[in-house]
Amino acid sequence: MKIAFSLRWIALSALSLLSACAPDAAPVCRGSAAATPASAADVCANLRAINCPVAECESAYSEWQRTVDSASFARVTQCYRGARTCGEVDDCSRSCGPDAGAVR
Amino acid sequence: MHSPRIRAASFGLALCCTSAVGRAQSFAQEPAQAAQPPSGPSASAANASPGGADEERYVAFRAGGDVGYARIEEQDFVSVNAQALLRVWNFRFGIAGPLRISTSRLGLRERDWDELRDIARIPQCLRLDLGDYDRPADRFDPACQPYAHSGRQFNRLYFSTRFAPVNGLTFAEGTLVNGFRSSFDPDHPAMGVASNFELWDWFKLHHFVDDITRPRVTGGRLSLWPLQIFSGRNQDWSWDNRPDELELGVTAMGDLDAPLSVQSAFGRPIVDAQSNLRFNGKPVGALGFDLHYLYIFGFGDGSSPWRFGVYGAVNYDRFLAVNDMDMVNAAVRFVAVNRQDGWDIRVGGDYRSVGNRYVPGYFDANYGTNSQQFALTADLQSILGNASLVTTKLGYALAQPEGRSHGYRAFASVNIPIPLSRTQRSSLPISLYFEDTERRADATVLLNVGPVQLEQLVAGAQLVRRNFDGITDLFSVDGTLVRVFAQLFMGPQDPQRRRNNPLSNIYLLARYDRRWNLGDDGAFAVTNDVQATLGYSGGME
Repeated sequence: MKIAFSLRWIALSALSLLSACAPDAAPVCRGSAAATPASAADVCANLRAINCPVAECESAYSEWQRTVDSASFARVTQCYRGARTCGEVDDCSRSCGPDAGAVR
Repeated sequence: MHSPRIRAASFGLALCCTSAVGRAQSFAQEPAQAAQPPSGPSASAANASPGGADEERYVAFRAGGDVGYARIEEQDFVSVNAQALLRVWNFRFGIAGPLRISTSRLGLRERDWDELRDIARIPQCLRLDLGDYDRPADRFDPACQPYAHSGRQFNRLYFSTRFAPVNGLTFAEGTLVNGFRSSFDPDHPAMGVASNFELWDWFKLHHFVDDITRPRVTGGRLSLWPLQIFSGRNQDWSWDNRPDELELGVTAMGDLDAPLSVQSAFGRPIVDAQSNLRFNGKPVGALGFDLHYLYIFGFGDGSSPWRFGVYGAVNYDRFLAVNDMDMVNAAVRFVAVNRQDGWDIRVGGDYRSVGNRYVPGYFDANYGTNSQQFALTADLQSILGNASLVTTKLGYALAQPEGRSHGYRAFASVNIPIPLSRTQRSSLPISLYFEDTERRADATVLLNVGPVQLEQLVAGAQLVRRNFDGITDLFSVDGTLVRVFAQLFMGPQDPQRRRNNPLSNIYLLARYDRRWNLGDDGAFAVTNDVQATLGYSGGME
């Protein structure tokens, strides 16, 4: 039992470490065609629904709206609204900016 | 046959118990170990009751609990903790039922029991030990470390496997694994597994997994004594307990899901309903190789109990598949030991060539926190700016440019003997080091005091401060992790004297932790946790 347990972990560890050598796929912005931003209510409701809440979501929305260029903001909010996992939300943040890069 | 000088070299480390930096390992001991007899060359001989002793019961049972006050994350609680221990032959099962009741709304603390992994609070130490070891008293033992052995190392065959939180783990000089702890966060307990195997004075193997419910960090170290393997065991050394004159070690570490970047929306970290920071992970692996040698002058000189020597160590640590995420470290320490009363004093320094992407002591006591959010100090936060909240330790390391820098470590330690009786002795170990490199925000200071185990008291303190700028910034609490603990028994713990003394079962427990707690805003902030309880336990042993 103990040996089987250890072997399983050795195999898992080796596989995981080997997979570190594989290049990571670039995230894709799923809101790339959007022209208008999704509303704060819709975005924040989706983030809560998929258990990816952000502190003070509505004010974070407003703050970003002031600092991020409007095209990127529209894309990223549409992307946030359609995301189904926290990973997809993060992909939106990393790929909906200028030249498919991060939104800053 | 071995030369007298080599005998003397072994004697020095026999008193020291671990490599000098490795004393951090002993910090894994927790208050409940006060129930163990005081350690030390004399004490262990006096109290040893090796497995299989005639008077040993096949089954032992103990139950009890403690009640008191706890302040956690700036909130007040009544702390109630029930404990039970069952030993059947060489299996020991220690369990606990920690409850914290809010003083403001008379309910259980929600974060204690809000996810499945919280059941890891219940098993405290499930263990099997086989072979040669000093059988400890059947008391609660949350430290759950391998057992000591008062016999000779050349004759020791020992296997131990333990399901418990991984605690204060240091390998070799602590350049890769330094005081690693699976979780400092009372909201997210971690039940790990650790195993040790020792074959005579030939080799030792240590392996661990940080959390069996959510395994991430795993690793191990194999240490060899080639002089003993190739020239025979040290059975002719009547006073010797350890074969330490030349030791080779190999360490392998991996984080199967090391946080690479924090997931974010609107530039703010995402924190899930169970107060976990969400991050993108990436597996990383690291290897370490180390060599140690201790040479003591003047063995055979009976004019003085003091011996002087030099300890040297060289090690190389490297993360796999990343350029300049490696370090070469060379250590020299001057050693003074007193064979008669147990003093051990070491002073020295290390030189190191550090790859720009290497963080010395990468797997440290605060790894559970700083692996997720690296900028826990003002110096690092000023470097990272707006990215402070979403930069992980690995992300920070990989973002550094290629290249190398010089570094150093200044080190001092002393082991102060404390006589308890004519035949028993304990000791107070104190160690301090300061390290820095040419890079910004790369200084570390670490102080360990204790743990000291007296007849009725065990106490210790640890201070670790990382990622600040240089020695001029030394005396600040910014970014400092502090642990202080003490357990005081009201009566003697000596196996003979405690039997008819009810006060021996009553104890005071106190601890203080300065650590980091994840807030709802996704930022780790300092919290000062305090706990003070009064407890009783009784049973059949």
